[in-house]
Amino acid sequence: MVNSLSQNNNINSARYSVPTTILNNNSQYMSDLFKNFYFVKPTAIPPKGHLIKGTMIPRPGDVFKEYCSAAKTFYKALKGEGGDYEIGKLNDSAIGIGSLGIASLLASKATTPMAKAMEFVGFGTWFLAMSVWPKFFIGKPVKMLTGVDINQEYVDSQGRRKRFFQDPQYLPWDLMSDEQINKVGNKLRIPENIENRREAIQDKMKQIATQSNTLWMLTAGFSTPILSSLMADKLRDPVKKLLNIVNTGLAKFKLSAVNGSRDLISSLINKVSNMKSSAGEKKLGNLLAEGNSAGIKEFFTGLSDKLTSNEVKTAISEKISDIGNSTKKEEVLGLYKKLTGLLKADQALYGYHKATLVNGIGNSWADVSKNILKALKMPKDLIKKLADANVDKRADIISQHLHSMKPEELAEVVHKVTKVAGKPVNQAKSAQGIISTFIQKPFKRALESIIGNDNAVNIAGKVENSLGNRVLDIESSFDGVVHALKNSKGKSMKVVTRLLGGIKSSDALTELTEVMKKGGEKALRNRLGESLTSKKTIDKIIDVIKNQDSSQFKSLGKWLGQTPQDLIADAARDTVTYNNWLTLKYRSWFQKVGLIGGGVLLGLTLFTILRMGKSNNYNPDVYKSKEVAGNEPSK
Amino acid sequence: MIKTDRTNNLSPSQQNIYFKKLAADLKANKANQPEAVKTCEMDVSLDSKIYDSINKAHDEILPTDIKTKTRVNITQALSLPEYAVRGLKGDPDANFFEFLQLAKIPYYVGGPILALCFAAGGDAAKAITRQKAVGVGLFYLAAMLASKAINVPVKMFTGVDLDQSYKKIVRLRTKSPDGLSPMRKEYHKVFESTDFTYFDLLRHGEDKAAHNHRIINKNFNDIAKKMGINHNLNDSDSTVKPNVKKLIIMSRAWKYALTIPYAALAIGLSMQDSWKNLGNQLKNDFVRNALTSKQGMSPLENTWFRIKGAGLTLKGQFWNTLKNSVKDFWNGTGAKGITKYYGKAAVISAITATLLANWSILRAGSLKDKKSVDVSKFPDAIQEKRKNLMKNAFDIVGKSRA
Repeated sequence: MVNSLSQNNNINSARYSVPTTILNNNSQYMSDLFKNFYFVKPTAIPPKGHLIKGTMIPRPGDVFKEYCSAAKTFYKALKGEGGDYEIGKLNDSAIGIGSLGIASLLASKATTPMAKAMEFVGFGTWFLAMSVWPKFFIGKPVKMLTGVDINQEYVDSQGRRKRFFQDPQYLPWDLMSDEQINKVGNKLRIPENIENRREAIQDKMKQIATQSNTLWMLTAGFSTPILSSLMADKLRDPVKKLLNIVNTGLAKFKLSAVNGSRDLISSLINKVSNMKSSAGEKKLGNLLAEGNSAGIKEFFTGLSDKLTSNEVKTAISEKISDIGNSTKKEEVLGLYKKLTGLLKADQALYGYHKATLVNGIGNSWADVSKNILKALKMPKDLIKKLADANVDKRADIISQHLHSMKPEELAEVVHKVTKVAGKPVNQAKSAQGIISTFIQKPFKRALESIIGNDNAVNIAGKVENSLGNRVLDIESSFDGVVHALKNSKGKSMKVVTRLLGGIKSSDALTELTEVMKKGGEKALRNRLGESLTSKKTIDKIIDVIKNQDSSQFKSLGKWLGQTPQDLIADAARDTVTYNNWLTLKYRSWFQKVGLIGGGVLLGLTLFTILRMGKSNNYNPDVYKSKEVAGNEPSK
Repeated sequence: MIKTDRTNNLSPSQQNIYFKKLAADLKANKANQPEAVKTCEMDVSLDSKIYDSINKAHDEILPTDIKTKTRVNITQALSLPEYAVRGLKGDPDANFFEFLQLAKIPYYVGGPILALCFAAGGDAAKAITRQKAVGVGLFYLAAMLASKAINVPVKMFTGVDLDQSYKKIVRLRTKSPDGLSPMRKEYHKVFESTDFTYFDLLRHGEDKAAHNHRIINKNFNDIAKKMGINHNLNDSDSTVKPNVKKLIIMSRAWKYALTIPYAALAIGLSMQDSWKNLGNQLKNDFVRNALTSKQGMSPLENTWFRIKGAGLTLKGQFWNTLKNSVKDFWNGTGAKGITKYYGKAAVISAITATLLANWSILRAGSLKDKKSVDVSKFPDAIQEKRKNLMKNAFDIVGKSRA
């Protein structure tokens, strides 16, 4: 044994021989210790790795799986189990969850739903930018120019998903077929007739991958915030529209929840509000048990303060102040139930009104106005002139344009404008229909239960009137334009200007009172008829002017709506500034971030990509030709 | 770590020639004639420095003093341009470590660029830019603290310094015909990997082990002691190693998890209104306190006065603003409804998570209740066995060498 060992000049052989020697010395302890280590042959399992196609944007399913496995890994890690790869993956998940937490925190501080939503949009675009930059802006040009797919992924024998070119020192080349490699080689123009062509191509691919990875790391710090903010900016309008849809839908469900609908969402809403009311009931029960009449009064005052409608608040105030003196449990709890019912109806009603008539149509106001302007077919220079014009000149400019049109052209314009302007008016009318029905049925019922039938009818009417003002505003504004255009046919420029000028809400009271004084009700009706189509609105205005009802003066402006000239001029201003990237401030921001920041970055990136795969001192590109039979060097 | 053991009595310059000649011989297929190597003539064109350093270079653990840590950090930061240039050229020797080092660039550049994207909004975006910039700064601080919140207690209570760096020598592909690999230096953490933990680096005084085998496990003995074993272990390394691996896994997982509440805390603080006024008076205060000379003072006193002034200005601006933001966040100033309690929730969750993390790591890392043999109670039997083992092992090594 010793002899055989002495022939070995390799220190490893000596190490292997240690346990054998110890065995000879009858050291059972050591032999047991080393037995498994030295004498069990490892069994080779054939590798199971395979290439997979990566995606530009992570699939939701994959993301879900990733987080599930992250949770499992974390649970195991808490027990001290895990490997480098799994634990390293935890970092990505932690960044995702942390960023979502940050977005939620920022959203909680934001005041409007839009601002809240944009915090989450920012979170999403940040991760999207991180993924899209290397895959699209670097990966695609590199693949197009060199054929190397730096985003190639593979699954290893342990089922772990990795990037193929992640570690340039450990590239699983055996997963790539000769065909795939040769395809890249041909694109890279690696000579055909060289020795070890596959290796030569692999080296070139590795060079390009290293170059791309480095470029990615050097640019990602700039690309992610720039791309992210540009994407978030572009998503503003779609997010606004989506929010409208969601809010309107939710508001509808709240209405149907009050109506007693039993669909899934409505019942969920009812369950939540029932939970809230039972908690309040409990609190009220305690106050009753204590005999705390001041507390009960305060409790009810707090509840009535949550009501949106001032009319309702005033109507029930007496009941609220009386309930403080009551000690009857049933009476107090009864009022509480009725009041929570009313509160639910009030919130659902005003929520729907806000979602549909205020925000919904308000958000699309500018777009509809712009479409009306588009239908007018005004030349660009005239639009610019209109945008810059003083208030007094606006109607002149538009009427000049209308006057220059042929009658058939004007008819076509009127047809188009009627179509465009009709949409918000119809939407508003249909929403108002739902609102009126709701007020007359569940809302009035809830009110009735507290203040009695007669009062309820009166208050419900007032609420309906006040909420109806918005519909009149919408109707007067958009129908006003159509009406003015229709009446312009065959009229003199002066008349057209007058029609387009409408009745300015700021001067309305003086102007209309003057007309009333001079020509009486008939003259006033004629004057209003020039601008307005709704008989109801005209009657209301006449009523106010006739009675000089000061409480309604403020509403006059709403009933008259926006004048046609103002509506078209606003659209012109929007169009002009939009063509200049909305506003000067926005243009400056976009120039700095998008054009200078993003442009320079993209330019440098593409330039670097163009230089990839070229020979340099690290990659000399020296190939040895293959010796072919009959082509041997002569001896 | 493993040093080349060459005892052929050559001077350093002769050793260089040994390598050079060996390379030449390899080329000429004369590797089997070592005699020829010894008799070769001196070559003046030889770059003795390179071969000398190749000869001596080995992986080594670095001291943990601040000076070394700073030097390592600076060296690593200064290597980034080199990594970038080589990477952009497609160096075949580029490795994953270099890629990970380059990944620090987007990490540290992304935040400030995000703040700049807001700053591009002009004057109207001034307040929000300031808040975002503060948020970015506090986020980096929070991420750093999340790591320290684990590393410091773990080192204190288990003796495992998760921040311990070592110098790694990376041998590159052979390019020259002499057959020697060029090399590069990298700075890694000893406990960066759980699969391949570099425990060898913790072996102590390996060259003296033949004479005093106890010395080799000195570091492991220290760790074992801190982990709660108060007696002598026969082989402290094998007792400690699995536990250290457990510590590495748990601390890494907890560090990632802690980043979540810490980052939330940082962003929550940056959202407070007190940051909106940060820097409004900075310029004026700085000019008044740090750049204006005080009359009736000597130049030295004046300099000292100005330095103090600058310090006070910065303290007034940053420290006080931070304090106010913490107060506001805790009290929920300006917040409504449930959001009023976010500050308290963020602070409490960060503290609770830190305590929970350290409790679970230290509990799992403790060896207090683990059974182990006190070697001093069985000195004869164990020492006899060890003596036999060492004797046999060294005998065989000696014989094989001979």
